[in-house]
Amino acid sequence: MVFNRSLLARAALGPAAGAVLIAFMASGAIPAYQMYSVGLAAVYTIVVLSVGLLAGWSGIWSVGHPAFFAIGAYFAAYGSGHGWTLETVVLGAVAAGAALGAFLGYAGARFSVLYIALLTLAFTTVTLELINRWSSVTGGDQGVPVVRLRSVLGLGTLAGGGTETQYLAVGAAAVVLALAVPAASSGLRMRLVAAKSHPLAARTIGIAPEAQSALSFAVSGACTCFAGVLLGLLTGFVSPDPFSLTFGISLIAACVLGGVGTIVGAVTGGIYLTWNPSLSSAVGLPQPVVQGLVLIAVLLFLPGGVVPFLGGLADRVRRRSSAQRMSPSEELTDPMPPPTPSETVGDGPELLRLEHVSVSYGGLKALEDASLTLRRNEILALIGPNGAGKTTLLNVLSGLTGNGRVSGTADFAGQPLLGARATARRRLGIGRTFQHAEVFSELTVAENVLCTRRRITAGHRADVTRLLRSVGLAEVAERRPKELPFGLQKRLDLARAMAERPELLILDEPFGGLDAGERALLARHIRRLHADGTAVVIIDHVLDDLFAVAHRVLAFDFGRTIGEGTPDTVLKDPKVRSSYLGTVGTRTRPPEHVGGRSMIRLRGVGHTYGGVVALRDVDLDVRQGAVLGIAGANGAGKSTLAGILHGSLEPARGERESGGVVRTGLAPEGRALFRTLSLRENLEVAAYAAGITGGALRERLEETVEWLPARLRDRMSASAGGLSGGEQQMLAVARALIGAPDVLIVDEPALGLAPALVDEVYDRLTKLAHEGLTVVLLEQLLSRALSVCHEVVVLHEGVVAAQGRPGDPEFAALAEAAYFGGGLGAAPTAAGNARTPSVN
Amino acid sequence: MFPTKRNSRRALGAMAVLAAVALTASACAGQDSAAAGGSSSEIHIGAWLPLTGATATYGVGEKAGADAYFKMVNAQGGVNGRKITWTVKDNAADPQQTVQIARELVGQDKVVAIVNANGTSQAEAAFPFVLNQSKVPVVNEVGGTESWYKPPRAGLFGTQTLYEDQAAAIAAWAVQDGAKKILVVHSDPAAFVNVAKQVEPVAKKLDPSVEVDRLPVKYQTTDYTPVISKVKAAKTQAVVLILTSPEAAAFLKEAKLQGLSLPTYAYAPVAAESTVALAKDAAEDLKAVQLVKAPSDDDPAVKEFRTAMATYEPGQDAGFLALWGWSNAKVFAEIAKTIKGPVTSKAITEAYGKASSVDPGVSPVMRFSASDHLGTRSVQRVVVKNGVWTSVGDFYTPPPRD
Repeated sequence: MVFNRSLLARAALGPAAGAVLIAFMASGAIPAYQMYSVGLAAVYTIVVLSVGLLAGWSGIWSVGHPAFFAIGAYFAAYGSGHGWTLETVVLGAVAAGAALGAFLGYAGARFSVLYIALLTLAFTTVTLELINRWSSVTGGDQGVPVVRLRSVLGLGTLAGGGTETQYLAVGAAAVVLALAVPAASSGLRMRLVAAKSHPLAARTIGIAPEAQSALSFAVSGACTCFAGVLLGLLTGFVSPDPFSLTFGISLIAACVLGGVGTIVGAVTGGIYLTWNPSLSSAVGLPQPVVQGLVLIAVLLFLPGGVVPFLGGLADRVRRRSSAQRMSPSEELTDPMPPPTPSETVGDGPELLRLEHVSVSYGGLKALEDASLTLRRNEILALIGPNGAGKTTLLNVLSGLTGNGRVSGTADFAGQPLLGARATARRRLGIGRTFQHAEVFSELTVAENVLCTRRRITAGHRADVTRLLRSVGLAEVAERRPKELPFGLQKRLDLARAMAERPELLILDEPFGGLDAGERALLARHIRRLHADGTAVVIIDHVLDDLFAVAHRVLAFDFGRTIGEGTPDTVLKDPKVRSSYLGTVGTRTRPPEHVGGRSMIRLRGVGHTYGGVVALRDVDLDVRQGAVLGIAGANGAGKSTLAGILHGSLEPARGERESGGVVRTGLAPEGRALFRTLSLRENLEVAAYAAGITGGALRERLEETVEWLPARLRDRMSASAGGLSGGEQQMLAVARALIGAPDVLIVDEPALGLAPALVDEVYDRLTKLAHEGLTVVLLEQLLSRALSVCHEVVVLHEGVVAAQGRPGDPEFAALAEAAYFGGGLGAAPTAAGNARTPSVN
Repeated sequence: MFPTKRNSRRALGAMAVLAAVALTASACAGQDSAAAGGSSSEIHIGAWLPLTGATATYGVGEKAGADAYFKMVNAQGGVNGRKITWTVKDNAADPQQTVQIARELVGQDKVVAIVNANGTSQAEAAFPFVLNQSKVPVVNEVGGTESWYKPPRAGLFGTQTLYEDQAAAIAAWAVQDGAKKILVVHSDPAAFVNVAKQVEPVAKKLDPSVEVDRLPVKYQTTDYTPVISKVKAAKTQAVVLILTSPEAAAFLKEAKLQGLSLPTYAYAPVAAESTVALAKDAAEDLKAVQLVKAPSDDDPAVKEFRTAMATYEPGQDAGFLALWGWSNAKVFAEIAKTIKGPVTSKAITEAYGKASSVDPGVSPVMRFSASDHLGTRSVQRVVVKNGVWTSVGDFYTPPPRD
């Protein structure tokens, strides 16, 4: 942890506030009858902080804290009756709280949020029952007094219900707050939050979620038990009444009110909990009513809590007064010189050797008898169609095979790999990225990388700053990942994997979802990593990019290795070609004849999201029977245009006209299926939404199911989540079709699919066009759009950069220029194709 | 460290903490009231009652009865010309809130006594401050245990016959009715066990040949089927219920369903309107002991209560709980009447110590002395007749316990 001046200043704030308060108390400015309430507020602050930070940092919502609070209070009572010293009581209570908390946290780590809450509920119920039964110690429901506790460390003798305890409570709360402040900027918090927001990704950087939740629950439990001791002393009498489940719920309400996971929020919550009864009597309403109203109001109007809301207000004021910050740079800012590619590939020492590795899940063999070797200075690409076992192989390397049965042997740098836990593999020198950039959404960009360290030094921070600068994320270091575009999130995922300089870097579809510029930048990063001596294993569907960086390629299908070679040679292997690439070139052409009637027409359409321009001045005409392709890189505005064409998104500017009643159906990007519903139910839901019921529904369902491939028709009752990517895409299209649309809009149908499957999806879409349906296809790959569409519109940064027919010999070059650079002029149109028939 | 958004948030948070501290301090500072004990025009007393939460029924009923009495007295000119101001605050049956309330009542409102409050552990949490530190008397609390009065504590006076004495009274009643084999069915927390244990020694004292067994039942059980089977198997001649009112109602309903018909006796918490409302005709002939006469009695003191309730607290139940509140209020007013000069905390404590015979009419005559701070050991026997609790005979004092 780095103690800089501002951190120290903030840490000193708790004690400073405590000192001011104690001075007020001692001077008599606070009347005697309020002194107890002030002490109580201090005690509640500690408890709310314990509950709130546990929820905010570890994602554990505990209703078990009344039990910890009670344990502390009864320690004080028992100690007072048996001549224990104050220190013995505090140590005993804290140790008991830590042990019980660690147990609950460890046991609960495998559960979901709801189940761990139930576990803590059970803990409170059992503890309260024990308290009521064990009356020789607790006095049962009659309670037990806390007479006095003597201190051996010179705090004197504290009488139960005495004034000294009120001071002690305020002082203790100040110290706990002072400790919480540096903890909030420590690696501890980052690792807790990381484990909470993405347990799987956390494992790959060496964070064990169960250890983290055990640790945080232990600290939280210990603090609450300590607060319990203070409560016992403060009141001078302990009975089971205050430690009810109702109190547990009030605690959570107080956390939410103040702001979960914030330190000042805990103080607010503690104060609220103490004076809520007074507030209730002041407004003349029963306490539960006031509590309920306050909570509803906060949830409705300040969902993040009072303190984060006020913080947000202050930020806005501050931002308004200072100049606008630069938006994250998307430029290829690369301060380092391009690395010289290593010339000596393939003769380095062996780093990794896999022999006869198989993985099976129940009866399903995900990987069968895979063997490979990797040298230290090598970039190895793994290719194969969807379901070939590529990701399973990566998971074997990073230890994320879950409950799959793994056999075979694997050696990494001379050590056996398969027995090592996932969390240990980071230490061995293995880093990995994820297909969907599984970053820790609640940490900032810098923290995402910092959290790989257990203890953070100034040197580490400097390293991270350097690393972020090298991948072009320095300017967004303090942003949260969700504020960044997908491309930057993927860079962050890579930066996190690169931190601590792993010997082996595993990249899972790193090029997926990136635009051309980002892909080029990524390729350069990968080459640089290689130049620095890192071995890389990489899988991807974007073969051009993959082959541009790889030294060697290994092809998989059905869980087995089917071929190996260099990027130049591997695709010449007929086995590889047929399994991976499918039937390239035999694609069904779109129908020749296209009707002239305009179905949907956009005039001067523009759209913005919170100041960011997504679309500008788009004129578009969708003609009957046509297959219209809209091509563009990521972020070009395709999905926005899809929404506007569909009619589900109202454009901010311009007009959308349709020729009479035109029904539209949309298969959105990423499919957006209801994963837990069956195939049939997915279709039925869409039909209901389109107003189709009864006999008409049965008819439509029959027709639509007929369109699906046979292997889906046989599984109509299976849940949609169990389908492969290609099958899900078919279902998504079928769902769009069930409303019998005049215009079908399909957004990125090829996303994440192997080429063979892409072909199947496109063939089926083309067939629909042959049957007379108007199809709008939003497509990232220009070549694909050109091969299947009548007409292609190229979007670049929200504007139509080119428009024309694929058959036009000039158009291909024009479209390519438009795709990458916005075209030669503003929205060029291929000659002879600029037809704008009026809407009928 | 990067310049952060959170930094400014924290700075703001920091200011908020200091502001909260300062605000709290200054808000607290301004609240001292000028009133002090011994005003010539009013007697300011206070109480904590559970007006919300699980035991709110008790607090609300008790408050209505006491309010009716104080309003009536004030309308008639007060106590020796002084109006009674009774400040009630909701403690939701929570000890921490009770301590806060106690400090407000004593420190801010300057009450001269805590009168007619409710709750045993709640009061006990407040004793260190109220009784020991502030020397403000706590009188006529609903609740309390034997330890409150043995030995007597300065400023603590009670009007409620202890549960242990109620158990003794029931035991005596069952033995007098001729039962030779008695089964005590009780809830399992300590507060119930202690009371249940008192039945046997008193029964045996009256008739050494009597057999007494105990059958503990899990607290808040709603299914009494197995319990009734066990009672049947025990072949007992009388049943004593040391249960809460809903539990007793569940017992009675299940007994009727299984055709079990035995003389059944219960202590005061069961002798409530709620038991009859829940058990309906299964409660017929249920015998119980009460702290007060039945609210339906023709007795003039009870009639006065019903009239006052109708006048001052219309819409509130004129039931047992209201009558408890009424009785406690009346005992306080009767004792306060004996004070010559300013009604201070000290004067009230002294007056209670000398109150050797206070007759509230609706409850037994209270006899306090310097050595006995509990006013009575007597109970009223009541029985359910035609769905209404009805008094049987006069107040009854059980044989002394060992």
